[in-house]
Amino acid sequence: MNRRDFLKNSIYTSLLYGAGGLPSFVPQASAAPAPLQNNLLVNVTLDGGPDCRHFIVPEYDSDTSSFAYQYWSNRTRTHRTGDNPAAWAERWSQYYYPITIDSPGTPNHNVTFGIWNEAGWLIDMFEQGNVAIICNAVGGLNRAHDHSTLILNQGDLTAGSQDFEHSGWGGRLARVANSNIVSVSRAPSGFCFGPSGNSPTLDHYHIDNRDLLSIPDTRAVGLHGFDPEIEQYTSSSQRMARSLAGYYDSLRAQQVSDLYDKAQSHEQKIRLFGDLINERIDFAENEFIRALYSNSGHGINLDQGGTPRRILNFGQFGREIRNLADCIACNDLLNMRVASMAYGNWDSHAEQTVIPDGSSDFNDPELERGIENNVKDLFGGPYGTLSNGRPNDLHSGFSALWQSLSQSDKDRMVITLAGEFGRQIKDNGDNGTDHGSGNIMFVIGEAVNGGVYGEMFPEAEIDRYENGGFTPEITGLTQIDRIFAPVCDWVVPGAGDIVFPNHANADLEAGVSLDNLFA
Amino acid sequence: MALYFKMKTITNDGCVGSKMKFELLVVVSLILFCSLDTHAQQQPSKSPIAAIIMLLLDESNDPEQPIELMLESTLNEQYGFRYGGGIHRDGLNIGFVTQSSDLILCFTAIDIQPEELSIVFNGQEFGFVVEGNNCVSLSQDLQNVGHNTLVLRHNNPGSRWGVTGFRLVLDSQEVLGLPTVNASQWNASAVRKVLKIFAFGGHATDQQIDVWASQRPNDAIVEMLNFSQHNALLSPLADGERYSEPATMFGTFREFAHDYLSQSSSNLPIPIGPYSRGRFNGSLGGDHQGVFVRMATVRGLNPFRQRIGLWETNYHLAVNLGTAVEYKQMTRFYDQVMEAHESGLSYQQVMATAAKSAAVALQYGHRSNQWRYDPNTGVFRCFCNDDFAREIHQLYFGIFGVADPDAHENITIRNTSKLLTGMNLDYSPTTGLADEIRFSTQFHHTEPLQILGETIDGATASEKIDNLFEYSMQHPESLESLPIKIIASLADDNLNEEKSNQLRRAWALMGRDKDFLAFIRAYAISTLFHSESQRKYLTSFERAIYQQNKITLDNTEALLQTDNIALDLTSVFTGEDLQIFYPSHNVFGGQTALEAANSAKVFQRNFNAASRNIIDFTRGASCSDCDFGQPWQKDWGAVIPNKDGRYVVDDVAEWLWIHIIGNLDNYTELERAHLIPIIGALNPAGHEYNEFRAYDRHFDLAQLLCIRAERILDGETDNGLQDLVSPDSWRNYCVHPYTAAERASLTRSLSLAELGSSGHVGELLRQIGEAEIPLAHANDEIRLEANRRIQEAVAFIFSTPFMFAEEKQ
Repeated sequence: MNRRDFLKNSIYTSLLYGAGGLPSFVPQASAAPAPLQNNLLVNVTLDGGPDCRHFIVPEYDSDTSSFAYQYWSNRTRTHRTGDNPAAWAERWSQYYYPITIDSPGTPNHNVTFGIWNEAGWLIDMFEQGNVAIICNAVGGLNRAHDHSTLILNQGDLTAGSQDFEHSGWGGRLARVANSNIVSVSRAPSGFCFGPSGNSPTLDHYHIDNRDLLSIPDTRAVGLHGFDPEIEQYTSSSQRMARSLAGYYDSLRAQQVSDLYDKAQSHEQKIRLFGDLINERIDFAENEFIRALYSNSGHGINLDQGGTPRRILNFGQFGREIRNLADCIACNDLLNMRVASMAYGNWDSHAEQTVIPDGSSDFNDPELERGIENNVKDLFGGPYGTLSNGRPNDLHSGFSALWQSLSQSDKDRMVITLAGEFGRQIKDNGDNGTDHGSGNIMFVIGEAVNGGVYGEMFPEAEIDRYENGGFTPEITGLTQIDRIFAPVCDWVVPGAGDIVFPNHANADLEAGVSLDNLFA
Repeated sequence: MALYFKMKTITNDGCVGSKMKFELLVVVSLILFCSLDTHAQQQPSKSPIAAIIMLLLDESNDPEQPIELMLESTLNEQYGFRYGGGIHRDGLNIGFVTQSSDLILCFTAIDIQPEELSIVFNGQEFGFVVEGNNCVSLSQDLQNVGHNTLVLRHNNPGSRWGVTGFRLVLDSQEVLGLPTVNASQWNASAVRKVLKIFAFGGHATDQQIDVWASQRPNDAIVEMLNFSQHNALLSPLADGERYSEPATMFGTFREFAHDYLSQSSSNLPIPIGPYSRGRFNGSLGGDHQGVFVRMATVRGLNPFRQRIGLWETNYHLAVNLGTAVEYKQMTRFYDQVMEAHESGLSYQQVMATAAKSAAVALQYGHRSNQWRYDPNTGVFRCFCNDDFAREIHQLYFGIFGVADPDAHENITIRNTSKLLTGMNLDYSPTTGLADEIRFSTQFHHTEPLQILGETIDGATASEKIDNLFEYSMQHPESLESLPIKIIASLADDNLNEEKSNQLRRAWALMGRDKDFLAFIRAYAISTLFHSESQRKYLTSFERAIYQQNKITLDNTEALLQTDNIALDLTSVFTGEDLQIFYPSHNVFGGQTALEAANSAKVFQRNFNAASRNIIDFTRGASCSDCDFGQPWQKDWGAVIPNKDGRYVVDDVAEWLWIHIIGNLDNYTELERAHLIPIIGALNPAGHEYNEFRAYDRHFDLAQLLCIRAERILDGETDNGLQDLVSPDSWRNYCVHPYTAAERASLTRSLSLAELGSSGHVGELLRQIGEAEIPLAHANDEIRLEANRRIQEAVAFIFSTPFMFAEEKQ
């Protein structure tokens, strides 16, 4: 058959999920790891709907009409406390690092809240003024995972539940930056999908992934290729590799249905960037980062028999941290301005927390702790203050990354963390929490003007606990456009208007301004 | 190859008609002449119908008296010259009564050269018959009043030709309001497409596929897709199969795992022991994924049942062994859902079966939900979570409560939590948690509940679920979403609003009791599925299991799936970060097709498996003791067609491509140029050199051209295929260590223009294509090497982009 004639007869409703062309790259860069050339956004999707109110809590208050009392009395099952005020007070004092907000003229002034004390890196970063806690943030309102995830990834509150072919806000930002977006998770999320067109006239509603690089394993990236030092006739693997390389090369010159663009794009991108990355990353992994996910090759977190074990409960996130660190070392080659990570398992309907007994080995990555494992994996580190004397000198995810980066790299990086929705403020009958809407989102970085944005513990929530007419949840007041647009502006000045064209009209909690989110 | 003639495209200029009158007379005269010569000796072998037709032809001596076809009937007699009856030296006349609708006339042609046989309808000439399937569209406006004649006019009288399998059918029909493909669109490629998407490819023979292609789609699809435990047409045993038990036994997950794979007494190639057979014990825990992939690939069961089983248990109604669900409940869940399908329950009842399962109650935790008195508040309240109370509407039916979100959130979901009470999962110290729910009125909200705006009553949660699902299925959001959810997930990543509306109408036409199987069948033979706008990426599961069904030839391979025999699907899925029954998105299902397509890791693993690890494919052609201590050898020659015992490389390559990809849409000169050298550019017999045996490795095109170029520089004038593959040649030309020029030559990419040219590249490819691969050689070693080359060719095809998605046909 004639492939070109075939194409003339093809009728497609859209250029679905187009792979696009080859991303931009810098093949002549030096061999040494490079510092970040530009500002970098690292977005972490917290799939499942994280209960951020579990690790950021109000100080216990014995006043039964207070927000804090209502919070603790309606959370006895998720905090695994006894059903009495003394137990709540004990939980607060033993497990949370207290911070009092000094912000005259705002509802948060003199409010004391606590960060779960094993989230040492988060505590330390907050104390250093590098963490923006955005309260009452909201994306999807329907409390449905898949639809709300679409909304979060696309940064579009109007996205329909079947609008899979729309671009993600990370992909749009990369396009505006004339750069690439790198997914270091197992598979790229919708956040990464690029739009059609070029900045500033992007078509948000069609996908062109020419800027997308999927690098789920920086230490094993590449296609088996031709080695001229090997006898070709005796090596069947060489013959096949050469034949396939020649085939794909020839195929690119032909007009093939765009359904097969993705495979061809993978072949081209992996071959090219695999070679570049492999050449650059000829250094050993940072030991603290390797220890996040590996049970060998490091001397950290030894078990009683002296055998190394990983630190993170969810080792895959450690690999993502490793991938991110490697990609930062290759950022000039990859022309990376946006990176995408994921940490799931937040859908805590049941057994949200498991409190191990005091004799447990708290550095055992398999120790069951509910979502507290997730929090520790993300934010654990040798910072903060522990009142129970447990050792906490191990770097978890971001802590390990942070200690491996230069100051200049840290200065050029911002991290956003958000889930698709929040959870209900009252625990359920299964020691968990059900779906809600509003939540806390985080913007973290050395360039961030840290603090609490939005009323942290709105008094209006109290009525929702026992009022059967309302879902007991956090009311979403600040829409995601408002939060992420200034992040885009920091990565690429002026990008916010293009990536989030409606951000100026999006909801913003009264009295809150995110204009100065960055220093 | 199929040809589809559209009569509407032919210009009626009058001259053609005049010319045809003369030709028609000639044709009919010649037919009669031939019939007189051959009829007598052919008659005894003919069926009564054919005999009557022959008699009519002989006795009438009337050129206007054609073979008469009846609407919606098939005529399988053979006509032509030196074929079948052998009397139609110069052509054949076919007649039928005019119909008040557009028609399709299809037939199969044998031994037809280009432009050998013309087609003339009612005096209008409009094309030529091609080898294989032919269909002629006969629109109503082109039909005569009363009666019509179609002439197949032979343009080279005396050469052998034949036609058979005439079918005259209505051009369009509908099932559930979905337009069914017409006879011209329903061919072997269409059948393969259905099998690829809905049955992991199945194991049907080429002959069976042709039979289905010759049937009406409505009839064929019933045989292809059903929920029986065994489908002997879709998954027949290989000739001489040693492990035939699955054809009659072990059709459920529990039986297959517990009574077959894990039993030391079973007839299996798998060694006895806790780490081999013992891991398949589905009740006590083990390798559920390993059980499933064998159920989906072993011959004798029903790959369609398993394909839907995977979708139901890992996608639509997903539960996850990585949560509280145990092997025992998962096994029961799979069987309960598929037995519900098999028994013909309505789809709402199938889903109700799932909703009432132990696995789902463990997954979501509502087995602990209780409606009981709260001494703290002095009232009854629900000690519940609302996880399944939400997802039972959203995930099962697609109901979000968009019309009244507050009512959905505060009434429907809350009350559904109350409904999901009194669902007990008993525990025994000896057998652990049960695999069935014990429904009880204790701690159950026995009073009726308002859910989805309806009053749902029932003494237990079981009764209430049954009653609720009757309403859920008729809910406007369900009617809007569920049919789309089914097809979008199973078969089409490119559903637009028009197609979606057609699917919704089809779903609605089924009335209250939704018949899942009827819906799938109607879609699978519809023009929606067989259209250019249908496009589907394959998930890793779909791709790899399909690949397994294409590379395995018998149950030894399908059951072993390790030790370099067939694909080790467990390793494949591990390498792609996946595991069946551990869906990536938990209750939201496993890896999506789009995720698979976007995954560089998926592509990389698949690519490197066929290049870096190509030896796994070649090793997979035989073993010395893998078959329960006995040797085993693969025999591609048993399934690949041959011509008089000869396996011609071009034919083999084309067959392999169709076998694996399903059609020749993307088999161009480029694919051929890379594929046929693997099969046919081999070191020949009689030229063994040191450790190199005959046929034990291939030359790729670039290397052949490299050798050729250097031979020419060296003054060699004979540079045909056999000259290039001779050891005297490859030991002296383009040899390691390579010069810069040789490296460039070895990695050279060739354009379509070069490959299709009549120059030396085209000539070399022609020689390779005409070569033979000794798949039937008497020498075991040579035959084995030939099979290894086929394995390599399969690996190459597995690595092309066309392995990752499906469209058209």
